Amino acid sequence: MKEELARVYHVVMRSFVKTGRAPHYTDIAREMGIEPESARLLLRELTSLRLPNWLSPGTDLIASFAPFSNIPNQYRVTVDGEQRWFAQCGLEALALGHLFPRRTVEVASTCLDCGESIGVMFRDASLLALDPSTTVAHSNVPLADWYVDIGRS
Amino acid sequence: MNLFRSEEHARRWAGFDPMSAEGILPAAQLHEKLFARFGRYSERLAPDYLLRVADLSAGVPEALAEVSASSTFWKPR
Repeated sequence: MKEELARVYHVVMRSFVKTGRAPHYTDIAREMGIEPESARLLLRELTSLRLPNWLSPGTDLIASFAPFSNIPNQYRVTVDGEQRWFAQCGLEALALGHLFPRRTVEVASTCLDCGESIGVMFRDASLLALDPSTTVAHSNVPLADWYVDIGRS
Repeated sequence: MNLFRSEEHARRWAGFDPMSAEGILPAAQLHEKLFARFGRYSERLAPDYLLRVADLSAGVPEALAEVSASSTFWKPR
Protein backbone atom coordinates (compact mmCIF):
# COMPACT_ATOMS: atom_id res chain seq x y z
CA MET A 1 0.00 0.00 0.00
CA LYS A 2 1.38 3.40 -0.99
CA GLU A 3 1.85 5.90 1.81
CA GLU A 4 0.46 8.56 -0.56
CA LEU A 5 -2.86 6.69 -0.67
CA ALA A 6 -2.98 6.65 3.10
CA ARG A 7 -2.45 10.42 3.07
CA VAL A 8 -5.29 10.92 0.59
CA TYR A 9 -7.55 8.75 2.73
CA HIS A 10 -6.67 10.82 5.79
CA VAL A 11 -7.26 14.14 4.02
CA VAL A 12 -10.69 12.99 2.81
CA MET A 13 -11.73 11.68 6.22
CA ARG A 14 -10.58 14.81 8.05
CA SER A 15 -12.42 17.00 5.55
CA PHE A 16 -15.65 15.09 6.07
CA VAL A 17 -15.38 15.35 9.84
CA LYS A 18 -14.59 19.06 9.72
CA THR A 19 -16.98 20.27 7.01
CA GLY A 20 -19.54 17.51 6.45
CA ARG A 21 -18.51 17.36 2.78
CA ALA A 22 -15.96 15.56 0.65
CA PRO A 23 -13.00 17.54 -0.68
CA HIS A 24 -12.46 18.00 -4.42
CA TYR A 25 -9.23 16.49 -5.73
CA THR A 26 -7.81 19.99 -6.13
CA ASP A 27 -8.38 20.49 -2.39
CA ILE A 28 -6.55 17.23 -1.75
CA ALA A 29 -3.69 18.40 -4.00
CA ARG A 30 -3.37 21.67 -2.13
CA GLU A 31 -3.43 19.93 1.23
CA MET A 32 -0.76 17.43 0.18
CA GLY A 33 1.39 19.88 -1.81
CA ILE A 34 1.12 17.86 -5.03
CA GLU A 35 -0.15 18.55 -8.55
CA PRO A 36 -3.92 18.35 -9.11
CA GLU A 37 -3.55 15.56 -11.67
CA SER A 38 -1.51 13.50 -9.21
CA ALA A 39 -4.25 13.95 -6.60
CA ARG A 40 -6.93 12.99 -9.12
CA LEU A 41 -5.11 9.77 -10.02
CA LEU A 42 -4.48 8.92 -6.37
CA LEU A 43 -8.16 9.48 -5.56
CA ARG A 44 -9.17 7.18 -8.41
CA GLU A 45 -6.73 4.54 -7.14
CA LEU A 46 -8.00 4.92 -3.57
CA THR A 47 -11.63 4.48 -4.61
CA SER A 48 -10.78 1.39 -6.66
CA LEU A 49 -9.66 -0.50 -3.54
CA ARG A 50 -12.13 -2.92 -1.95
CA LEU A 51 -13.26 -0.39 0.62
CA PRO A 52 -16.72 1.23 0.89
CA ASN A 53 -15.64 4.44 -0.85
CA TRP A 54 -16.68 5.48 -4.36
CA LEU A 55 -16.91 8.28 -6.89
CA SER A 56 -20.04 9.53 -8.58
CA PRO A 57 -20.14 7.51 -11.85
CA GLY A 58 -18.34 9.19 -14.74
CA THR A 59 -16.79 11.87 -12.53
CA ASP A 60 -13.89 12.49 -10.18
CA LEU A 61 -16.24 13.60 -7.41
CA ILE A 62 -16.46 11.62 -4.17
CA ALA A 63 -20.00 10.32 -3.74
CA SER A 64 -19.53 8.31 -0.58
CA PHE A 65 -16.70 7.57 1.80
CA ALA A 66 -17.54 5.31 4.74
CA PRO A 67 -19.00 6.18 7.15
CA PHE A 68 -20.07 9.41 5.37
CA SER A 69 -22.19 10.24 2.34
CA ASN A 70 -21.46 13.31 0.24
CA ILE A 71 -25.05 13.11 -1.04
CA PRO A 72 -27.86 14.08 1.32
CA ASN A 73 -29.95 11.08 2.31
CA GLN A 74 -32.23 9.89 5.12
CA TYR A 75 -29.35 9.43 7.60
CA ARG A 76 -28.95 12.93 9.04
CA VAL A 77 -26.09 13.21 11.50
CA THR A 78 -26.00 15.82 14.24
CA VAL A 79 -22.95 16.44 16.42
CA ASP A 80 -23.36 18.48 19.59
CA GLY A 81 -26.59 19.89 18.18
CA GLU A 82 -25.25 20.79 14.72
CA GLN A 83 -26.60 18.89 11.67
CA ARG A 84 -23.92 18.97 9.00
CA TRP A 85 -23.28 15.33 8.03
CA PHE A 86 -24.97 12.36 6.37
CA ALA A 87 -24.12 8.70 7.01
CA GLN A 88 -23.23 6.47 4.08
CA CYS A 89 -25.97 3.95 4.86
CA GLY A 90 -27.87 2.30 7.69
CA LEU A 91 -24.91 0.09 8.59
CA GLU A 92 -22.29 2.84 8.64
CA ALA A 93 -24.72 5.04 10.56
CA LEU A 94 -23.93 2.75 13.49
CA ALA A 95 -20.18 3.43 13.22
CA LEU A 96 -20.18 7.20 13.45
CA GLY A 97 -19.51 7.67 17.16
CA HIS A 98 -15.77 7.14 16.72
CA LEU A 99 -15.32 9.99 14.27
CA PHE A 100 -16.23 12.67 16.81
CA PRO A 101 -14.33 11.82 20.02
CA ARG A 102 -15.94 12.87 23.29
CA ARG A 103 -18.88 14.46 21.47
CA THR A 104 -22.53 13.43 21.31
CA VAL A 105 -23.49 12.08 17.88
CA GLU A 106 -27.12 11.62 16.85
CA VAL A 107 -28.41 9.92 13.71
CA ALA A 108 -31.98 10.81 12.78
CA SER A 109 -33.37 8.52 10.14
CA THR A 110 -36.69 7.45 8.67
CA CYS A 111 -38.04 3.93 8.23
CA LEU A 112 -38.45 3.28 4.49
CA ASP A 113 -41.54 1.16 5.21
CA CYS A 114 -43.68 3.42 7.40
CA GLY A 115 -41.94 6.80 7.31
CA GLU A 116 -41.70 6.95 11.09
CA SER A 117 -38.51 8.07 12.79
CA ILE A 118 -35.51 6.04 13.87
CA GLY A 119 -33.04 7.60 16.26
CA VAL A 120 -29.55 6.56 17.32
CA MET A 121 -27.26 8.36 19.75
CA PHE A 122 -23.59 7.68 20.50
CA ARG A 123 -20.68 8.99 22.45
CA ASP A 124 -17.40 7.43 21.30
CA ALA A 125 -17.93 3.64 21.41
CA SER A 126 -21.02 3.82 23.60
CA LEU A 127 -24.51 3.47 22.19
CA LEU A 128 -26.53 5.86 24.36
CA ALA A 129 -29.92 5.38 22.74
CA LEU A 130 -31.61 3.39 19.99
CA ASP A 131 -35.23 4.27 19.28
CA PRO A 132 -36.99 1.98 18.75
CA SER A 133 -34.87 -0.73 20.36
CA THR A 134 -36.19 -3.17 17.74
CA THR A 135 -34.38 -1.31 14.93
CA VAL A 136 -32.71 -3.56 12.35
CA ALA A 137 -30.28 -3.04 9.50
CA HIS A 138 -31.09 -4.75 6.22
CA SER A 139 -29.23 -5.44 2.98
CA ASN A 140 -30.84 -6.83 -0.16
CA VAL A 141 -27.39 -7.89 -1.39
CA PRO A 142 -25.25 -10.69 0.12
CA LEU A 143 -21.96 -9.38 1.55
CA ALA A 144 -19.90 -11.34 -0.98
CA ASP A 145 -21.55 -9.37 -3.80
CA TRP A 146 -21.29 -5.88 -2.29
CA TYR A 147 -18.36 -4.84 -4.44
CA VAL A 148 -20.09 -5.83 -7.67
CA ASP A 149 -21.97 -2.55 -7.29
CA ILE A 150 -21.11 -1.08 -3.91
CA GLY A 151 -23.41 1.90 -4.33
CA ARG A 152 -26.45 -0.39 -4.48
CA SER A 153 -25.46 -2.44 -1.46
CA MET B 1 -28.10 -1.07 3.55
CA ASN B 2 -30.97 0.59 5.37
CA LEU B 3 -32.40 0.91 8.85
CA PHE B 4 -35.97 -0.16 9.65
CA ARG B 5 -37.98 0.13 12.84
CA SER B 6 -38.17 -3.67 13.14
CA GLU B 7 -37.77 -6.87 11.15
CA GLU B 8 -41.46 -6.71 10.25
CA HIS B 9 -40.97 -3.25 8.75
CA ALA B 10 -37.99 -4.46 6.70
CA ARG B 11 -39.98 -7.40 5.33
CA ARG B 12 -42.93 -5.12 4.51
CA TRP B 13 -40.79 -2.55 2.65
CA ALA B 14 -41.74 -2.26 -1.05
CA GLY B 15 -38.09 -2.74 -2.05
CA PHE B 16 -37.53 -5.86 0.07
CA ASP B 17 -36.07 -8.79 -1.87
CA PRO B 18 -37.62 -12.02 -0.48
CA MET B 19 -34.24 -13.70 -1.04
CA SER B 20 -32.66 -11.34 1.49
CA ALA B 21 -34.41 -12.46 4.68
CA GLU B 22 -31.02 -13.29 6.22
CA GLY B 23 -29.88 -9.79 5.36
CA ILE B 24 -31.76 -8.45 8.39
CA LEU B 25 -29.62 -7.91 11.51
CA PRO B 26 -30.41 -6.25 14.86
CA ALA B 27 -28.86 -2.78 15.02
CA ALA B 28 -27.98 -2.97 18.71
CA GLN B 29 -26.04 -6.21 18.24
CA LEU B 30 -24.25 -4.87 15.19
CA HIS B 31 -23.07 -1.91 17.21
CA GLU B 32 -22.01 -4.00 20.19
CA LYS B 33 -20.26 -6.81 18.33
CA LEU B 34 -18.79 -4.87 15.40
CA PHE B 35 -18.68 -1.10 15.54
CA ALA B 36 -17.85 -0.69 19.23
CA ARG B 37 -15.16 -3.31 19.09
CA PHE B 38 -12.95 -3.17 16.00
CA GLY B 39 -10.27 -0.71 14.95
CA ARG B 40 -11.57 -0.96 11.40
CA TYR B 41 -14.30 1.41 12.57
CA SER B 42 -12.73 3.24 15.51
CA GLU B 43 -9.40 4.23 13.97
CA ARG B 44 -10.52 5.82 10.74
CA LEU B 45 -9.02 9.15 11.76
CA ALA B 46 -5.54 7.71 12.30
CA PRO B 47 -3.08 9.04 9.68
CA ASP B 48 -1.88 5.51 8.88
CA TYR B 49 -5.33 3.90 8.93
CA LEU B 50 -5.20 2.75 5.33
CA LEU B 51 -1.85 1.06 5.85
CA ARG B 52 -3.25 -0.92 8.79
CA VAL B 53 -6.86 -1.51 7.76
CA ALA B 54 -6.30 -5.20 7.01
CA ASP B 55 -4.91 -5.81 10.50
CA LEU B 56 -7.61 -3.65 12.06
CA SER B 57 -10.23 -5.80 10.35
CA ALA B 58 -9.02 -9.08 11.82
CA GLY B 59 -11.93 -10.74 13.59
CA VAL B 60 -14.64 -8.77 11.78
CA PRO B 61 -15.88 -11.72 9.67
CA GLU B 62 -16.13 -13.87 12.81
CA ALA B 63 -18.06 -11.16 14.65
CA LEU B 64 -20.40 -10.79 11.71
CA ALA B 65 -20.91 -14.55 11.72
CA GLU B 66 -21.79 -14.35 15.41
CA VAL B 67 -24.38 -11.61 14.87
CA SER B 68 -25.89 -13.37 11.85
CA ALA B 69 -25.92 -16.90 13.33
CA SER B 70 -23.31 -17.90 10.72
CA SER B 71 -25.52 -16.99 7.79
CA THR B 72 -23.82 -17.42 4.41
CA PHE B 73 -25.49 -14.13 3.45
CA TRP B 74 -22.87 -12.35 5.59
CA LYS B 75 -19.86 -14.41 4.54
CA PRO B 76 -17.19 -12.32 2.81
CA ARG B 77 -15.97 -13.29 -0.63
